[in-house]
Amino acid sequence: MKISINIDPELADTEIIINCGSLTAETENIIAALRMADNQMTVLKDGETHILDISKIAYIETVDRRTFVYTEKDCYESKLKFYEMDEKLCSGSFLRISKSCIVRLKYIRSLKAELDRRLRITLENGEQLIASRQYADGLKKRLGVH
Amino acid sequence: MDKNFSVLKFLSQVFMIYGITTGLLNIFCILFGRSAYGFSTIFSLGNTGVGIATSFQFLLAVFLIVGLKFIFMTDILIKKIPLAARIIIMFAGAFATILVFIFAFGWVPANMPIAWIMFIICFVLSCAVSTIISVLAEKQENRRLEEALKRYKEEQ
Repeated sequence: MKISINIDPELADTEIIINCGSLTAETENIIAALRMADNQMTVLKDGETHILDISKIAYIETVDRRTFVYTEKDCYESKLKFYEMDEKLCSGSFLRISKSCIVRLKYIRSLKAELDRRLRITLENGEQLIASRQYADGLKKRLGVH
Repeated sequence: MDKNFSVLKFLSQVFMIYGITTGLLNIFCILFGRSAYGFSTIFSLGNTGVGIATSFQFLLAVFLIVGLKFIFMTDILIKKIPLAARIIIMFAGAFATILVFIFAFGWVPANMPIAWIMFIICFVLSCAVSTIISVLAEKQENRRLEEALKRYKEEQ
């Protein structure tokens, strides 16, 4: 893979052009990483590719090794692996709450401690998720509850 | 469920519960020691307080019950068991432990039904109080979580 960088002070915006013979998995990964850096994500719905603002994501879930991205009303599939999402998003406004789920903290409406130390999370759209015991402490720490 | 075990945490729970029970026992001794003298080994010193032997028996009982709590109410040894089953096993285990101590050390006279009824009432009350405390602690935890979430959202 050849990487060319053209620095021109005349250019106002940074533009990235990818020249390739075909759209391989490697190329898609590069595009996905670039989108992430731009706070966007390439996702699929009904066979169509959509560009999604990361700020629109409510939560991300993995089922049978497939990664699904949920917004307030829609569900998309991402080509990125769940662990890649975890690595890229969880340092920001997202947090892993179980082995299979990452949630955007700002999208949480309320939290309820269960007796077995799990946390019931109610999202702004009324959906409920469970933070497992393993990850509940991380969520509390992130919110500043000790 | 807590998954971290530390000897310090274990001992702090043992001595906290032991301190409370010994304090209560001393109050019972002062109040009922004279009339209960001769019926139970707990009141072997009458209304002057709890004897050394009884103190150590209670320490051992508390040690075992806290041990049960660490086994059944944490994820240290048993990971997959429903919460309701954990609570039932925990209370049943505590009841069985106290029964063994009652028979072994003569805490309650075996042929006196009123003493057994009192013991069962005390045990049920203790279970009820600990459940109420758990519920109140859970409510407080929820309040703290809500406040922290609100604060986080305001800061973002």
